[in-house]
Amino acid sequence: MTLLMFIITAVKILLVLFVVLTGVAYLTYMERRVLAFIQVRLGPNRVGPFGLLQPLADGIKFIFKEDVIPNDVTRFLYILAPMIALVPALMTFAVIPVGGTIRLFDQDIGLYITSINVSVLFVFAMTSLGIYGIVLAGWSSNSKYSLFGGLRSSAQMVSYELALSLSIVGVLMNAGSLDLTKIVAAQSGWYHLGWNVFGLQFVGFVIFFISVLAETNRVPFDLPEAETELVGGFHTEYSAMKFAMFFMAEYTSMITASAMATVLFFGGWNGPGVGIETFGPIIGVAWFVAKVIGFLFVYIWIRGTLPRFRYDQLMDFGWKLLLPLAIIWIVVTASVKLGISLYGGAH
Amino acid sequence: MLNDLVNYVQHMPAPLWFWLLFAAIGVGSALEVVMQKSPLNSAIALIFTFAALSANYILLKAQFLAAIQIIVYAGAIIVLFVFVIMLLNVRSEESRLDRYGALKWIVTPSVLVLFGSVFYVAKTSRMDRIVESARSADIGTVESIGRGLFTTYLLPFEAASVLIMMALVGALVLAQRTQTLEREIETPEEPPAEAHEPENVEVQA
Repeated sequence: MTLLMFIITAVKILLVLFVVLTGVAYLTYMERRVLAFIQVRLGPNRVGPFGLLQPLADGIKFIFKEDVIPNDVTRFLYILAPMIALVPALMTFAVIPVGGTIRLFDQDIGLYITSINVSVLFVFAMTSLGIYGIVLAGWSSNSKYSLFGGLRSSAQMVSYELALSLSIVGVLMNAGSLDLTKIVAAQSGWYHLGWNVFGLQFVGFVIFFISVLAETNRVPFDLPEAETELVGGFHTEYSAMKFAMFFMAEYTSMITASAMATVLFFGGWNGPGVGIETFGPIIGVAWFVAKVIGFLFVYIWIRGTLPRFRYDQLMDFGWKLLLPLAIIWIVVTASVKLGISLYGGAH
Repeated sequence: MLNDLVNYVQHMPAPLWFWLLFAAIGVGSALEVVMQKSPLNSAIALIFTFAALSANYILLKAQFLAAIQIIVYAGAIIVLFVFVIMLLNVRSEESRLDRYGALKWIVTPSVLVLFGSVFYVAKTSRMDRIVESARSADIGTVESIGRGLFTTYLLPFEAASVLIMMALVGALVLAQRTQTLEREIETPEEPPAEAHEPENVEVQA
């Protein structure tokens, strides 16, 4: 590894961190504005033009608020928990490819930080580690509501993780690889419109998206932080920047989940115009960002539309509907692929 | 003897350094698992053990195994442990060494024999083999593991899955029987005691 390569990687990491964290800040702004629009209100519109500086004001507020650590908490874990929640959420971006390769300084630079041959599994591993932030926060807070939030969250995430990982098996069968860059490359047929979602994998996408809503604790699966029952759920006892870190973790996971949905089912950076000579990669990145923002909008739209599940309904739905459906769909996909390879070699 | 060791350490290749680092973390946190009194702290130490193990798998070019190690053990099994610890509100163990005084006459020799055999194996096999296997081939990739599981090792693989299936069904049957028993007794049961009163929540600094 030459020095230039090292610098390029470092710049990529910093750029991704900057973009994601800024994205998180503006996602809160977007959420408040869109929700306000849905509920026929105005939303934050005073700080800066159209309220665009509102995230900055919020950030300053969070930093300068008093950071209360209650007396009876398990101190070490209480402080550690928000960090455990945030770091794995950010780490998943190491393997998510946002574009093809561009040529700069006589080097072919891939628009991803790193590409490993098990990157799908890496993303799942990081997602599953993120649970600990919530669980430990609930435990160490030494509060009834926090503990219930943590319990609900661990049960919910473990349950929906199964359906989540089974829902993408069809995609993996299509691509024949666990490498996200290869999964995107496998969807570049049909004038860059051979996305997995156009076809058999549509069902897989529906299962994936529902499970992801549950994994990120979003409405209608936001039982770990159900305000009406649990005050604030697992973060009841948290304040100031530690509270903000849970928020950032949740919104980072939302962006990760949208990026994963884009990469796995919506062709990643593929789209009309990507094949163009010089500007192709840039158009690709624009496609990627547009798709991710589209998914984020759907997230907020769902929040503005649906009420919360009851807890037993949530468990029934995950175990008795999504999981069997995901397994059935693996069998269907495998059968169709086998059938095509046996009899459909005509075209 | 000592000079040989110093010389050896000075000329260790980089992967071996990392291997030593992660091995130390793994052994250290494994010791914490058994030495911590609070069960939750033990569970957290176990996560660190698995993370260190997973890092060593990566050094051995077994990325698939490393990822699976994190997903299955750190991400699912320990979460269930933590879940049970939280749900049952398990308290810290008191030191019970005095109650099992005779045990140390059995445990100490066994541990000594174990360490002796480990040391013997380590001495007869070669340390740099780790580095060699890391250099060699793609034995740890998804493709080769999948091929192995469905060709050479198909029978053990299927046997293991049948075994797990049996355990699953067995657990279901046992749980079902307890439920029917409870229904047959039909005593006016008290609702299960609130396990989550805040003063009972374990606080261990």
